[in-house]
Amino acid sequence: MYMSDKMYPGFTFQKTSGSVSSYVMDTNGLEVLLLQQELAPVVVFMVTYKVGSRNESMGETGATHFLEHLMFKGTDRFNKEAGTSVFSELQQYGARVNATTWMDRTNYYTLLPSDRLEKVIEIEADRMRGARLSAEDVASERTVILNEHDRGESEPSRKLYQSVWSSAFVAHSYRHPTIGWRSDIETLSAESLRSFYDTYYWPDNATVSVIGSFDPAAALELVLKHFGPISRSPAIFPDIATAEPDQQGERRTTVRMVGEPASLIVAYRSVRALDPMAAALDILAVILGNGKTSRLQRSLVDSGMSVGLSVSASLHRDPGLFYIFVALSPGRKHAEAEEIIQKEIEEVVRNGVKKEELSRAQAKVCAQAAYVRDGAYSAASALNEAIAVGDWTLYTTQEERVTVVSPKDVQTAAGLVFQTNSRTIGIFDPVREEHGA
Amino acid sequence: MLPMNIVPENNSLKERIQRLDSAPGEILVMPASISSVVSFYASFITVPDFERGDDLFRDIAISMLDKGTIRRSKLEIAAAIEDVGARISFSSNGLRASVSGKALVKDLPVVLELVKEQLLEPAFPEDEFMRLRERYLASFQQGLLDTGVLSGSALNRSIFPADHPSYSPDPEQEIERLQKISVDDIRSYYLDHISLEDWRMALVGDLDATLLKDSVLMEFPVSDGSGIKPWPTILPEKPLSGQIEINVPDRDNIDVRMGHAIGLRRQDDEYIPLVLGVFILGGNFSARLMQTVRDEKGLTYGIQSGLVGVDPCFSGQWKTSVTLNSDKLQSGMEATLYELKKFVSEGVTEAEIKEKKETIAGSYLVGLSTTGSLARAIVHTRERGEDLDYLDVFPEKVRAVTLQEVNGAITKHLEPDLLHVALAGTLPEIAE
Repeated sequence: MYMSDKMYPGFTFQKTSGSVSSYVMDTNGLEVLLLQQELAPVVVFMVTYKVGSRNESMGETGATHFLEHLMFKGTDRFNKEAGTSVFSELQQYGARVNATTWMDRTNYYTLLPSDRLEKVIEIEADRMRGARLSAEDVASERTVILNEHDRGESEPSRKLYQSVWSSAFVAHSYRHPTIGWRSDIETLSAESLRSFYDTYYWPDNATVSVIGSFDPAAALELVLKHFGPISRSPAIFPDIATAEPDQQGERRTTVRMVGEPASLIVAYRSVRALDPMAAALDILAVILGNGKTSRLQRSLVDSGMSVGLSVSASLHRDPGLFYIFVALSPGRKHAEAEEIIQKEIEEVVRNGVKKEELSRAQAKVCAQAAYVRDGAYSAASALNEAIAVGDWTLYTTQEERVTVVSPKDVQTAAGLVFQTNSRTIGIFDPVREEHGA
Repeated sequence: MLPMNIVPENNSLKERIQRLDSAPGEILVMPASISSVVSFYASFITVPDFERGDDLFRDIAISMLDKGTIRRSKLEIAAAIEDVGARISFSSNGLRASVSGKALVKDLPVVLELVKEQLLEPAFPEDEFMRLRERYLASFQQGLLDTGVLSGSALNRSIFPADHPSYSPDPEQEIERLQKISVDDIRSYYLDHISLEDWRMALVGDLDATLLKDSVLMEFPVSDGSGIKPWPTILPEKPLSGQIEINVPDRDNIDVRMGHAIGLRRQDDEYIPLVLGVFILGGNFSARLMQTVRDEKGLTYGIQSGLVGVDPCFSGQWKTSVTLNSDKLQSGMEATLYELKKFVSEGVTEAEIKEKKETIAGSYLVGLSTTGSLARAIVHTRERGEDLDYLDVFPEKVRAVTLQEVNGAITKHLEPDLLHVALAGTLPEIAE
């Protein structure tokens, strides 16, 4: 039987929280998380780098995402010319292979049959410091990324979302789109991408997660075998010094383009994910907008004002935005929806939430925590976001953090976040033109 | 609850699946090593008259099932589900409707009662219908500006006759029809055309069949029905005139769809060889299209090719999708067509087959790694009339395919010269 506090050669045991145990590799500071699930003979191996668009400055926006693409161009050992590309090596076993970039992190993950675990460990270790990043690869991948960028630009809701973040933040890098501004994608050079890679892609800036059906001792041995020879970063990782100044008045932004439906975002500057108030904000988002019984669902969707709604506390490493997105029913006005949202917000600030609403929201969050155990991939996704904001135990402690939230906590959080002066309102106002074959 | 160590260490899925004796329809239960959670998936036949556009009535009727029953309002139903953090969703597609969900095992009896009540006693309240119709309308209008939706549905209209399940109605006409539908139409359609015919449910998770022997599942009024009459096979034919071009302002990204009908059904011997062959062409990142058009030439973010809509009762299509910036439209389409023609004329190699057999077999295993995916796979296997051992032998069926079978199926069924092409976006000629 696996003992989570057992000592393994080459690692220092850190702690166990829930079903997850953490270790740090002695030689290079690589953090390793182990989460066993026996549902199926598969395993997820994931490397999360603590670098995202948050770490980019003007002129290099999109660098994190560009690098994510280039990491699949391979290394001297694993590359297409040698018939050993990352994809062919892993997908030959039926693996699901991909990577994502977001504000606070970049993650590379592979879901594959458990008996193929070593292959993915070998590849991830090799490309942690061995990515080729050639000028030719940068040139060919640039057009691929520009196509990805332009696909996103065709989606009004995505443009609206970006416009709201860019308006709400004037100093902090959360104002940049994660994919980058088009002109930066067009001009990023192989040298600048190499510099970015050499700054952030080191074992002591990464967390490796092994999730699914595997033997912990064997998995750690493989991680040590392949990642062990990599040294620590020779430099200290740059910190983000820029803090967003207080917002001192409501901001408004409008996106006008062809598309449907008309939509609206009401966003408020919020707190960081590790703030003690974060759990209450998660609950508040559920009470306002998750499920048919939620307040805004009833006042916006059931009233016929809206055909779509989402509410998110959107918690990040640095303070982000609590936002409400509303897709309007045909013929409805933005101002009508905005007024309803304002009334609901005032109501929750003034009178708080009912105990019954709170219990229902807590039941949803706790059931969701159980559902996340259903499959290695869903567990990896949730764990990844917890790693990204700076404390992986947010994944294992979600139920306990949420069940202690009181109605008063929710009301207090609402009062602190829902400030008119820190509000940004985004409107998508469709341009309606004739089109056709 | 079943302790984890009671679950037999058995790799055979079939042997782990228990049948709920004397239950109406077919109820299949699979214990799995997960604490407290169960997923379920059920389906039943609802064959609409596609030529009359009855699938729209069917889809709206199924979407109304969570809008209240004759005993409880929508909000009361929703509160009962949300109070236990469960999920229930209804959907319809092709020839069937389905209900799926997830719950903590302790709440399963309550959840199954709710499923039964919603299926058998829907109220179809008019105010809810009006709101749902607005949502459908908004979705259709959004689709009128969505280049992926526009190109895909234009291709389907070009390939299939109007009575075929894969046909896509003209979106503008569909909006007109939608605006004339009343709640009485929907209620009548549900009562007259929908019953729990060929009802089948799989439940996978922290439970076994004995927990369900006195459950509400024993009370579902299952109908024998008349089954499904197969559609005539559609063969590839030349498009009536050139490519279909749909201009949409403000869309620098152009979605391109190329496809033709294939005279093949799911149970035909050539199905698995052709799936394997087309997977080599465009099934994943390491397939030919991604490796050449994206990776080598940098012309696209996304390109894939596959068999779509192949069913035991009707044939489907060979479809290739590529997304291109307007300045790469011509070169991207040429590069794609070049690869398609090369694929058909030269076939695939032994090495490619060997690799992709393992990919598909491994991918199958990976795809069955959640309780929800297992429940769906169990039901879909039985829907097709296959024995449950198909779940276990599918990888071996793939591994047994030969190079000759794959290249033979490619040559017989795929004809690049007969591809229908549809594109949607801000097209370069018009943009200038």
